[in-house]
This record gives sequence, C-alpha cells and structure tokens, in this order.
Amino acid sequence: MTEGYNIRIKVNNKYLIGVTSDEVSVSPNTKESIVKENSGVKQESIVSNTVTFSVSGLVDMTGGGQTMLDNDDILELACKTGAAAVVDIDYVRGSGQAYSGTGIITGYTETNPANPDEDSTYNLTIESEDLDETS
Amino acid sequence: MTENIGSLLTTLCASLQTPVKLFLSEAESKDYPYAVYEADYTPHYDKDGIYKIVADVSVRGYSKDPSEAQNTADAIDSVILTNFASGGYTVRQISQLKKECLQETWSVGYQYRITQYRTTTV
Repeated sequence: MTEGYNIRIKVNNKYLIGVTSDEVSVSPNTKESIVKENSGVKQESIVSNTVTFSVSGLVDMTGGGQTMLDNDDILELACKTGAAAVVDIDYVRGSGQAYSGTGIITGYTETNPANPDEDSTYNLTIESEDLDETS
Repeated sequence: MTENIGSLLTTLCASLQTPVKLFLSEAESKDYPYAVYEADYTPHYDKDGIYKIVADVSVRGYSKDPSEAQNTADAIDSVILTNFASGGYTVRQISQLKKECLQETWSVGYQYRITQYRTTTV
C-alpha cells in the first residue's frame, strides 16, 4: 500500500503547489497494417504512448520558492507557446520507479467560488509522448 | 500544522479587560462569569499535509445575571471577530445561540466558523 501523497508530478524540477489529487493515464497510439503475408488479418502495433497527467490543486499565489511552482508560475507556463511551452516532467512514485520526460500543458482551469467555505482550485492537464523510466 | 484555535481562544478571553475563564465543554468553576466553548475540527489536506483546519465553534458566557452573561458573550464575540480576522485565520459569525436559563444560571452565546490556515510554505 502506498499513500497517495507520496506520488507526485514535478514540472521543470519543481512540485506543483497545493496539489490535492492527480491522475495519470497511458493511452497507446497504434498503427494498423496489412500485407499479403498476413492472410487478410490486420496487424496492430503500438508506435508510441501518450501519457496524460491531470492534476487538481488549491490556488496559491504566495510564492513557491525554490521547490514549488505557485499558480502564477503555472499559469505563466500554461500560456507559453512553441518550444518555450515544452516542460520537463518527473513522475515520482514514492519508493517505486520514477519516470521522466518532456511534455506540454494542454489545459489549465481555475475555479473561484464566492462561498467562503470553498477554496479556489485549479486543474492542470499535461501530456507527454516520451515519458520513460528514470535510470 | 497543528490546531491552536482553542488555546488562542483561551488566551484571548484571559486578556479581556475583565478576564473571563474559558473552559472546553464543561465548566470547572463556580465563579461567575465564565465561558464554555465547544469545537468541532475538520482538517483539510493537500499533498504537503494539512493546509487548513475548519472549526465550528460555539461559545457561551454564563452568569447568574442575564446582563452579565450577555456582556460576557459580547466581549468574547468582539475579541474573536477581531483577532481571528487575520494572521492565518478567518472567522465568520454563523448565529446567535438561544439565551437559556438553567438552575438560575443564564447563558448567552454565539456560533462561529473559524478557519486556521497553514502559514508556511513547505
């Protein structure tokens, strides 16, 4: 059993601030082919994997310091374009295998309710095509 | 972070111009006026631990004299609304509790929602 708080994503070597939960999903990108030797049966192979991270957290703009990205930093990254929009990703899984690669932020939303019992929250989506085990 | 709403409440009541002894749940004194509070704490977590503690707090002032009970409750009300409005806390007064008289002792009080926030970045 591993507690969820031990599993976290790092972006540009910093943790995201105020994270309450995150999800990771791996979707294979497949390619179909058929040649005469296949006797009419299509062959399907995985050519790459898209790894999607969905992060939910609490909005915090008090400054992340050396180890955290606060919401000013995260929104700044989310608004970048081109090569500047590519971020380094590390997926730290407690005492398990770590993964790293590069990715792009494909979505950022903030929710800011009026009810003082509710917190401002954000959701961030990051996609990577080259995530691999960290040696 | 650790909860310190109760201890701060006790300190604030002791520092009033007319100090009031504040007890948790049950009075341990027969010297009037005094006050009793109840608190229900709910911690909220992010991946760095507890980031806030929400406390539903009710405070009642007790006295043989209904006016003194009211004045005690009002003095505590004022000090709570002033001192929990900043410094890592927020406070809202939720309701005024029903004035009661039990065994010739009057009690008047208010209910609050006090939130204590984590003040240091991990």
